[in-house]
Amino acid sequence: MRTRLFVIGAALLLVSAGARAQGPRSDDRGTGAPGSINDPQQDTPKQPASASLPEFGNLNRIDIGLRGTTYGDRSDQARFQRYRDMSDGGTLDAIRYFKDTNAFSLKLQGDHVGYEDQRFYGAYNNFGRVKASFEWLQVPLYYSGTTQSLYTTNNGKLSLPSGVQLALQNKTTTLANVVSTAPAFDMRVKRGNASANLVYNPAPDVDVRIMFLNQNRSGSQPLSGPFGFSAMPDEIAVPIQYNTTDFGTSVGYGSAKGFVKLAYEGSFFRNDLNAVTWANPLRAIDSATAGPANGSMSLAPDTDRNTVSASAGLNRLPGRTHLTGFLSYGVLSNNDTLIPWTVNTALAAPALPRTTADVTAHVTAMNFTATSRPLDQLFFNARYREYKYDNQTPLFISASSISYDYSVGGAVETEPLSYTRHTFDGDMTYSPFRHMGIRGGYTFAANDQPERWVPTTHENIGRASIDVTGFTYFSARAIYEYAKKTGDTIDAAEILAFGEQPKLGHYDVANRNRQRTSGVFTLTPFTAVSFTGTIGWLKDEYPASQFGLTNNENLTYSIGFDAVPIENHLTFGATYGRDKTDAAQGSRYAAHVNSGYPPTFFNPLADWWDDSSDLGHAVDVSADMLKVIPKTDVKLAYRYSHTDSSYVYSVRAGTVVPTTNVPLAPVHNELNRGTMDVMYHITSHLGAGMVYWYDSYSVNDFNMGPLPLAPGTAASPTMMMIGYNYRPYTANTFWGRLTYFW
Amino acid sequence: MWKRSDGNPARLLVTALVLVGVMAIGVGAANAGKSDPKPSGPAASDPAAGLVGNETCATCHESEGKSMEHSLHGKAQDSRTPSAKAGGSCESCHGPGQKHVDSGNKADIRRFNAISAREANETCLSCHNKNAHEQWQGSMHDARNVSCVSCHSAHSYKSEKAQLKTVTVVQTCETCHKQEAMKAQRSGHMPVREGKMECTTCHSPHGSTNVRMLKAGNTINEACTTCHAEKRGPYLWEHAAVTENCASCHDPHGSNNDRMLVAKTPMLCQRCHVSSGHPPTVYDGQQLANASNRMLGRSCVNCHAQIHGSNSPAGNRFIR
Repeated sequence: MRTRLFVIGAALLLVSAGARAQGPRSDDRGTGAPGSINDPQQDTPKQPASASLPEFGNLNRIDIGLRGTTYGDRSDQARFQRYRDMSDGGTLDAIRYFKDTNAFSLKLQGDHVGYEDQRFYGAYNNFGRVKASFEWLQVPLYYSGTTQSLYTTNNGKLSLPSGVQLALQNKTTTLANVVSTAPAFDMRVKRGNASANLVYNPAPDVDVRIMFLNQNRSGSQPLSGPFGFSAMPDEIAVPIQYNTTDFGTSVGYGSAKGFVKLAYEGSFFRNDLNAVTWANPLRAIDSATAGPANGSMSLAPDTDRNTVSASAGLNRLPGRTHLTGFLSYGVLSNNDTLIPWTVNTALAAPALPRTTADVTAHVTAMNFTATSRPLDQLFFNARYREYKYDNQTPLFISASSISYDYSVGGAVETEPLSYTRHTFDGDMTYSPFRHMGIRGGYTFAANDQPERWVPTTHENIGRASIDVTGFTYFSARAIYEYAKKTGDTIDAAEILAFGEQPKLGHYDVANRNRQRTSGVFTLTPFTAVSFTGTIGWLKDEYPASQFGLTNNENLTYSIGFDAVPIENHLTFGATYGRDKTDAAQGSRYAAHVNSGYPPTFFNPLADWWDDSSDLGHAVDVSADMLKVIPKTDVKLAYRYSHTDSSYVYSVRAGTVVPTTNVPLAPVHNELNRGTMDVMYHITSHLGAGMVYWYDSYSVNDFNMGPLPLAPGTAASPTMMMIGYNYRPYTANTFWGRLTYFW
Repeated sequence: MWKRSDGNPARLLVTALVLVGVMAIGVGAANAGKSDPKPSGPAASDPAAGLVGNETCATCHESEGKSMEHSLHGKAQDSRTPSAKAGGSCESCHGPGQKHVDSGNKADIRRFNAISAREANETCLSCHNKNAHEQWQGSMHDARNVSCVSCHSAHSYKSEKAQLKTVTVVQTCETCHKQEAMKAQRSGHMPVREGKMECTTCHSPHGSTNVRMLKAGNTINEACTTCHAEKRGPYLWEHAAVTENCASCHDPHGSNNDRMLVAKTPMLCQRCHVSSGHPPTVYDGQQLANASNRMLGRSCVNCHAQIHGSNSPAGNRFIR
């Protein structure tokens, strides 16, 4: 709070000082309009100044106002706000101050001042000597305003009211009865990022850079904790208090001939709570057979990452050749003190093999690129990339363990994961005409992941693309890619020993055939009008996978237009997009058994499949009319997004899968957003405006909707939920504002 | 190091940095008027080299001349800028202008929307070839003949930073990357449409050492964990799919599913876990009606809560 007040005060002081130093500007500019980014070839003859002045993004202004939002009945106000703070009241919504001389520039910005999503930014540039900037950015995450919980939280320990546990344990009350009395609370997380950057040029070709970033996150978020394999999970609002501090510095020399740079980056993550303990609603007294009175779970550990790197490049070699190299070495570490096996005092926990995590990974990365253009029509490009993640953590082995704080389990042993990736890329581009490039390329990727079922994979990728740009009326880009990934799976007997199906493919390492194509097309029949279309298609097949993901296909396309009938004054456009993804996965039903294989484990009649489909539509329409009506700026926009996802099961004829196969309702999300922004320029320095936003969100999610997740209802008797779910909302926001320009 | 306490060293350091930064800016601004260098006025012409100077160019191209003064290209104090070079800011990029002045023919001067993308880029890269641009050569956009002037404008920019032709970064990127831009409107999304992030928060359009032109780190995970450091690990107990690639389970551009997952749980988890017992169970409407704790809410993660990895001795199944 003190920091925010200080920054606001400093910014306002600088703004007022700058304002006194500035004379009034005579040009009357708008706040910038989204225009067509197509830049057709055109002459630039001398034009009257008033029509030819570009729209600079550095206009000084301060924007104050009054805002209020009305909600529809039972709207989810938290989801409407999600990453914003839309509280009612006065607003200082934007401050922009820019001072520009021939020696330096000074930029001060503030957004949403005084609200949870506020931002402050300052930058100073003494040209050719020093650049400094800082930013304070707050990003709220508003989960819910209607969550309920019986727990009280004290420094990572969540407790229940006295007597509740015993009453539930002794069945003198029910879960539904006690949960309905739980007090409501806001579940939020707040992220605050403070960053500062400095670039100092002791000489024209030398950069000394310092970077600092501190990210702080605090609040609570949903988490579940079970108390046994068949026991109910218990949803809690786990407190979080993270802090990540990043520091980086580099020294570099660069000229037209090349560059060299040395850098260091450090990142230090600290978690004030490395564990959470929460009371078991159904037990008040620890038991070695009936469960614990409390559960204990580790949270994100403190970690450090230190990396040094060197990079260099050579330009102006024969044949317009450029060489670039990058090499880095880093160490990741986590040496948190381990929490005990359990907090259940009735269980005889084994001794810990060690008291700290003692986790370390060494990371090496290198990247070498060579490009060459021996002829104007020919361009060559080659790259080699290597990444090695070497996990050097000693094994953590115990002859026995604890499960769910509930019972003593069998032996456990960690499996520190390491992997190495080698990638080689080569491309050749031929330009038969100045504005065309025809490219062919090849990539070979070899990945080693020794702890996975497919310890080594090789992938061969071929691609071809064509790019036609620079013509007045037309531009087009298209690419086609074919990739084949193969690898030898470990012995089937080993997989069976894990209790898994040998024909299961882990889709991130399984054999895969991939085809991908995409294209972007732009037609500009007139200077002021352009039409754009995009298309993309991706198909993945996993030929060796009988179970798991077997194929995945995505088809997306969009079409739209932009029109700029009057440059800097009238623009409008619309886009429609469609995105469909279909995936298929397979499995084989097998009931749990204590030893050996379940009866259906090897029976094809126990196979089942799930076909998922995800279809999204998006519409985007906008129109900006700046001073078309004298002294008035009008901005209109409408955005629509509609997505449906379905999951459909199927089984073989004669199936032995014990399912009724009742279909699941499709998951539906629809967002409508309409905005209107009108500003009347009373004078060249003062504008009065009105803003209106309409937002509506409808949702139907079969496992995140309000009905199944209502706390303590008959719909969820087996879980104690806090009521975080997906609910619809309708919101109308009205905003009156005054803007002062100078 | 950096361990928070009641004194909170990190917050004090942040406050101190803000204080120093504002003071430096204020001192710099206060001293600005004392030694303001000469304006970057019209550079001297050099007839022998075919250079005519900025003043001659501005005779016909007044608005371009004015815009140059306001941009970093026009700040002669920085000896690296075009305005500090022979010919001044115009002819440093557009080439000698004498022939164009004599003939009035636009073909007699270098125009960036008339030459090939690579030729245009070579002009820009003669200066912009280090730091943020040091990986441009051979990058995805370079390989696809994307020109600097496709996105940037030296004269008619609309953005607050980076001299883009559009007001925002997203508007620039979505011209070609429509699918990713549309996904930001879905229910599971990063705060892009709220203005807290933009494409360049994660990606470097000028190339990088990372895959997918990600700005930070050397892998997808290293990029994601610059903000989500709590998922960084390494952990005592690791989940292979997580350790190797966040995008195995999450769609960072947007998703119809909670937590930006590529598919809903439990189906997502069942793409890799078949075995016996609850993993290969058919979770249909009947299971939902029975309020199965493997279906409702976070589904599998109701029990396997530490799904990104666990530091607990009892975390072998990520339930602690």
